[in-house]
Amino acid sequence: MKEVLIYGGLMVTLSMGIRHGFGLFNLPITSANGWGRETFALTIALQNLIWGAVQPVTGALADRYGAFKIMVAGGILYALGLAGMAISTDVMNFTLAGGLLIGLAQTATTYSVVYGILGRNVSAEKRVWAMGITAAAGSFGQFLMIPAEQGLLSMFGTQDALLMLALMASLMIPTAFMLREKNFTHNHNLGDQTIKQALKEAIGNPSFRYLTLGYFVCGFQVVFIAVHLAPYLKDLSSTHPAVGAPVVATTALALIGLFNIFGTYSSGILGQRFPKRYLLSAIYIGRSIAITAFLLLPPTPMSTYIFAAIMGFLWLSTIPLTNGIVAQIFGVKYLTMLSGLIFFSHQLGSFCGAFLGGYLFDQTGSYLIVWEIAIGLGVFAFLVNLPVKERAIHRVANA
Amino acid sequence: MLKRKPSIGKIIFYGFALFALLFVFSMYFAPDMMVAVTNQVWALCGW
Repeated sequence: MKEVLIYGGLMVTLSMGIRHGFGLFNLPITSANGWGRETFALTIALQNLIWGAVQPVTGALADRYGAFKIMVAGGILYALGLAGMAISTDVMNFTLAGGLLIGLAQTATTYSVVYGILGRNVSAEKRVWAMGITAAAGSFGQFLMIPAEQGLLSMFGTQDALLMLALMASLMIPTAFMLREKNFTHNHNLGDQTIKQALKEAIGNPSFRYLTLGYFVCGFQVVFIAVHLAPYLKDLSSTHPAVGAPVVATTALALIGLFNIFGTYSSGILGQRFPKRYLLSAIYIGRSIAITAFLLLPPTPMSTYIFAAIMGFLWLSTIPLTNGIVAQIFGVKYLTMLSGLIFFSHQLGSFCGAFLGGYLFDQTGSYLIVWEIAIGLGVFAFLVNLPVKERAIHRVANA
Repeated sequence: MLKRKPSIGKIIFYGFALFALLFVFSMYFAPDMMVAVTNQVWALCGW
C-alpha cells in the first residue's frame, strides 16, 4: 500500500502541478508570437473540455486493460504536448499540442486513474484516507508548481522552461511502471459485470446522480474563483485601493494553494470516520457561507486572506469524499470509469464558472450576479448530497 | 488512558513538511512572481 500511495501521489503531483502553472505562460507566449490572448484561452478551454469529455472513456480503458498502460501513454502525451507547445510557432499546432495532447494526457494521469489503482489495492477501511493523501499530493503539486514554473520562466525563458517541464512530465512514465498492478486481470475477482451494465447501473442510481450534480457545483465554484477572484479584487481597487494591490492577489492565491493541501488531507481522514455525504454537504454550504460573508463584509486585505484560506481548505476536499462514495456504492471494478463520468460533470461546471464569470461581467459590469449564482449552487449542492445513500448496492454487498 | 507520544521520526517529518510548505509559500512573494500574477490579472481582465 505504501508504494501505491507514494507513486500515486507522485503521479498526481506531476500531472496536476505542471498544468496548474500554465496561466503564467499566457503573456510570454502570446506576446512572443504576436497572438491574441484568446489563442491561449482557447487552448486551455479545449484542454479542460477534452479532459472532462474523454475521462470516462480513458477510465473505461484503464478498468479494462489496466491503469499502468494508460498512464504510460499519458506520460508520453504529456511530454509531447509540452514539447509541442515549446516549439509551435502557429496557432493550430499550439492548440493541438496544449489543448488536445495535454487534455488527453490529463485523462490518463490524474485522480480518476490513480484512484482506480488505490481502490483495487487499498482496503475499504483505509480507502478514503488513501484518496485524501493522494488528493493532498495533487494539491501540493499545484501549490509548488506555480512558483517553480515562474522560476523556470525567469531563468530560462518560455521555450526552455516548457522543454524542462516536458522532461519533468516524462518522469510519469517510470512512475507508471512503479504503479503496475502485477495481478491485474480484467475480472480481478470483482464480478463479471460489463461496462455497459456498469454505466446503466450507475446512471439509474439516484445517489450517483446526486453526486454528479454536486460535482458540477464544485467545478463551477472553484474555477470561477480561480479565474475571476484576482480581476474582482482589481476592480475593487477603485473604491478600496488596499485590496487591489498585487500582493493581495498573490497572497490570496498562495493561501488557497496552501490550505487546499490541509483541506484535502483532512477530508480523507474525516471521510474515514464520518458519513461522507454529510461532509460533502458541509463543504458546499461552507463555501456558500464563506462567499456570502466575503461579499457582505467590507473588503480588506485581511478579509480577502481569511476568505482565501477558508476556500482553500474547502477547495478540492470534495474529491476523496465523492470518489470514496462511488467506490463504496458500486465497488472498484469500474471505479475509474465512474469517477471519470462524475468528473465530466465537474468539468462542465468548470466551463460554466469560467465562461459565465466573464460573460455576465461583460453584460452587467459586475461579478455580483455570478457570486450569487455560486452561493445558490452551494446551497443546492448542500441539499442534493444529503439524501445520498452510502451503502453498497445489492450486487456489491453480495459479491 | 495515556496518549502515546509521537515518535521522533514523525516529529521530524512533520517539521520538515511544515518547513517545505512555508518555503514554497514564501516563493510566492518573489518579485518575479508578483509581476507575473499582476500580469495575469491584467490578462484575465482582457478575456
